[in-house]
Amino acid sequence: MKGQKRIKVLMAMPALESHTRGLFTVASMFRDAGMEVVLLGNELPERIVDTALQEAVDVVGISTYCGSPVVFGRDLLKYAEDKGIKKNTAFIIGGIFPPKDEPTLKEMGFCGVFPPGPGATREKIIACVEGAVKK
Amino acid sequence: MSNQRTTKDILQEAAKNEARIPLYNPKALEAIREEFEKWKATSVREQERKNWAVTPFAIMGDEIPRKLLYTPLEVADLDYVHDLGFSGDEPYTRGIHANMYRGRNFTIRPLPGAGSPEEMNSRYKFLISQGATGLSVALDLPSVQMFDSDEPESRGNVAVVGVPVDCVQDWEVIFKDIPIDKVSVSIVTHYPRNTAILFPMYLVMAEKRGIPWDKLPGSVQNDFIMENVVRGAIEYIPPRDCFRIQCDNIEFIRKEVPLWNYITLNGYNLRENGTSGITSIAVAMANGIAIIDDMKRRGHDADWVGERIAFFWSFGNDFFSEIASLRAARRLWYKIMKHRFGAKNPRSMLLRCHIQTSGISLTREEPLNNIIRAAYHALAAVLGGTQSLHVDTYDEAYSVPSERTLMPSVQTQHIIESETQTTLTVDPLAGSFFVESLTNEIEEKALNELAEIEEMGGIVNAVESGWLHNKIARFTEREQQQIEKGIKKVVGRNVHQSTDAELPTIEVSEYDEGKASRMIEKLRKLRKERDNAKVNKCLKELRDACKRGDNVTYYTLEAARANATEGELRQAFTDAFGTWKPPM
Amino acid sequence: MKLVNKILRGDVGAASRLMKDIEDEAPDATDELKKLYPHTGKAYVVGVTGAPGVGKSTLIDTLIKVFCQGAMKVGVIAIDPSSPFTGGAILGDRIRMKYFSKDQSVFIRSIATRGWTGGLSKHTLSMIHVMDAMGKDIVLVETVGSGQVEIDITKIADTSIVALCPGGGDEIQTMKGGILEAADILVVNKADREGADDLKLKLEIMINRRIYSPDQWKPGVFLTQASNGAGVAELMEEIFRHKDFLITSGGLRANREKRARIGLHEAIRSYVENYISEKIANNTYLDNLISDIAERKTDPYSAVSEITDKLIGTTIK
Repeated sequence: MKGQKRIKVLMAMPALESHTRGLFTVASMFRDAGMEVVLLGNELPERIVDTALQEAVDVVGISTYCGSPVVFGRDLLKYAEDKGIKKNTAFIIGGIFPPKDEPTLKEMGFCGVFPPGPGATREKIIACVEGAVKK
Repeated sequence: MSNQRTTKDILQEAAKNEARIPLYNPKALEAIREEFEKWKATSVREQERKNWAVTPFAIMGDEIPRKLLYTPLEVADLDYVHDLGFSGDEPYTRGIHANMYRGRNFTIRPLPGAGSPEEMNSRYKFLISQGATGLSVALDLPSVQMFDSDEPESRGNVAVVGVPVDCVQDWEVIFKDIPIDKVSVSIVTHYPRNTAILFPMYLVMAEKRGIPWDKLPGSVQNDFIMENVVRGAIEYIPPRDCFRIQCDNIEFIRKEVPLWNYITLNGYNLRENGTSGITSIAVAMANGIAIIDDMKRRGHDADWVGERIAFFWSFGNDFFSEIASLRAARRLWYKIMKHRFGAKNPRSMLLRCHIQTSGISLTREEPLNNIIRAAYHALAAVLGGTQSLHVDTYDEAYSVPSERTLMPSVQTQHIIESETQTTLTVDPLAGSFFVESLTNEIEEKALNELAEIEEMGGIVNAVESGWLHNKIARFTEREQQQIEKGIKKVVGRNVHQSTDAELPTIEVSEYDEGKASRMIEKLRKLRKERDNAKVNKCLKELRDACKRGDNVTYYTLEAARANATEGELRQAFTDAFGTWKPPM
Repeated sequence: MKLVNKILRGDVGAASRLMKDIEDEAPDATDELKKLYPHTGKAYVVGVTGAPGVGKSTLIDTLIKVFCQGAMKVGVIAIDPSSPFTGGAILGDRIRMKYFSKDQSVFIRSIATRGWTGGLSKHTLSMIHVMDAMGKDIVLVETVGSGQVEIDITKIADTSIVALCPGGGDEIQTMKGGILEAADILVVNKADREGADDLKLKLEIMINRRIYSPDQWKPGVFLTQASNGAGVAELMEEIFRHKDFLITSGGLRANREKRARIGLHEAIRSYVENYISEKIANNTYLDNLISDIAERKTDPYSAVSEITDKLIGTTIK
């Protein structure tokens, strides 16, 4: 049987984040869509990037409920830039954060920003990931 | 433990020895049955006859099938005195106080918001000037997760969702000039480890102000389910050790701070994390049972411990099920204390609780709808007979509630209290065939789930083995699919979307780098000025106590006196107990 | 710099990209592997197998730590099952492997079985080669843990560890399943639990019933508590004792041959499969053959001969 290219995703959340529901829900969503999902759980931005590098993932997904997604996101993408994976990896973020953070997060380099709501359906999240990986 | 009898066995046996006096006489029931069958065959449409009982699908729901119509036949063996009784009287189905809300209205307990220790101090002073008699402390995420403000993990999180507390000094600032011997303080510590660290720091603050500990009123949460199951975290200690710290805290507080409530069995966060209401009841009670067993093993009396156990529930959309579940939980806890533990003191048989309306049931779409949802949740809580209430704000799905959105939430409670007239009569839904039948079913199902946990060897084993984690994972995945398929209907999300729903302006508290740097600077100074040799000695003694099996809270107290920080104490616990990961 | 040189210098990004190409069976991957192969053969391969819930990942996490403290460079390959229905997978081992080295001397790679059975993935051996070439001293391989002992690991590991824990429920089942043949070292993890000493004793009795010749390795049983690291340093020492034994007994060389054999077989199988599917990719030849087999006009065995005769033809003498 010829090998098949599969989308590989790393799912993580900020080190102190205590809400796990979103992370696991989205991880199973990706698995059911035929993707391989590396679960990392809570981690510092630096280590999330190092893990993404070792695992050669196509996508890094972040779930965040408390704290500042902007501070976290900026750190994460800075490390990603330093380690040279920002260009070839799609970064997405979802969870609970104020509407005004959405444009900031997009500007900073997240190609998918998913607060809970009509934009965060299974179809839309998966379409975003598949679209980003094709690019 | 597994060869011991389950609570279900014990209650069944106790029930055998009780003579029951049925409320309905057999002749009347026979006549009802006859008429009922006739009516069903002639007046009810074929379609409804076929689907006589339908399953309700609500977020975090119990999915107990609902019949089209309830009659005395569903509660045919109801024994009024035995099953319901009177308010403030056994078996407390109807409420824990005889006069309920006429005697004392449910406590309105809004969360205090976030900020620096200085900001919290002025907010509390303002609340007290407005007549508040109780204060809540919501900690920021690093303090909840037991990290110091200057640890890298805390970046971007200091003072965002609550107040940071790293050491005794922070408590001193937060409660400066506040009469903590008169105002009851609810510290939302969540975890046992956290409680063992922050509460002694609070006591040292009182000590330094010359306020004796036996004058301090208040409560902590202290629930190991929160630390090992509900919380996501970078590291965990093994459940068995965490359970032990929970019990050490209880023993310490019961002895040293007699007015303080030492545990809140938290069904709320567990249910919001992804369980039915029934599971949240079974787990909270299984933990309560394990605590009393452990305290008995330490030589204490069930009544000595039972007196100040409190519960915390989430109330969601399935209106009647929520009401019935609180009635069922009260009756079940009474039976457990009485029959399993032989409690004598009525106070230890009472299920006292705080209810928060469900956050997970709220939507980001059309946020104003959340005011309506929360109002139903709150009304159910009052009809169920809660002691204390928190109504979520409509912007819950966005961020930390702002002061502006807090108003409708507080007013929802005032409207229930002052306008709906629902608080004048105790347990107004009692006697409804439907509500009583639902109450029985929920009690039975909770007891069955409790037995399942006990057969595993108790709640610690159920956590250690990953049973509870997996149950949550399965429930959550199924719920997500049910919402996506439209089986669980959510207005504004998968049904009845409003086309022109405009977002109200959402105000959000900004992350303030300045607050974090001030906390970091304070810690730098503290670490320079305190007696570090003494701190290290206290930390070593704590680690040794963990390993020896001594009550750890006495050792964290000494460390607090020596100005150890929260992060240092967390690390001492982790070093002593090792780390653990949920097996899933 | 060429990819190979980067990998030889220990470049994580280069190695991890090659691993991805290997998994995806990208055409260039084989060429790169050809170039890397001469630089491999130095890493010591340790397999860890055992039923779910015995704590394999946590055990590996603590092993990583003790190896690092001994200034060794460690690679880890953690394998999880792919869903047979969607092909997707949750690779959850990293949640437990939290030991972190600032200098990147620990390289962990999670991979899915992608339909491969036996507890490994099709490309495990190639992955080991890459880590080996990077200069890893130790490569730890964690098998799927499907509930049975996954014997495949013993074919590619120098030292095979079988982990159990008291009260696992299936411990007896595991014992029946050829565990003693599979294990060079037996580990009873979660040793603080009731029944740990019992289980250790049971295993030792089983071992003592067997007859080992003096030149044969006799597996020992070790108690560990991966959660706090108790017993893990002793486990590491035992791994090295086994390594020394293999060196003096010539077993290490035998292992190398064993792996070379598997590697060759695997290479043949995958090459032939790809060759065949490429050669007959764009015609209806296969479809016709399949319907003939279904209708019993021919049989699969004759069909295979037909295909190989046509495409490959001669035999090597």
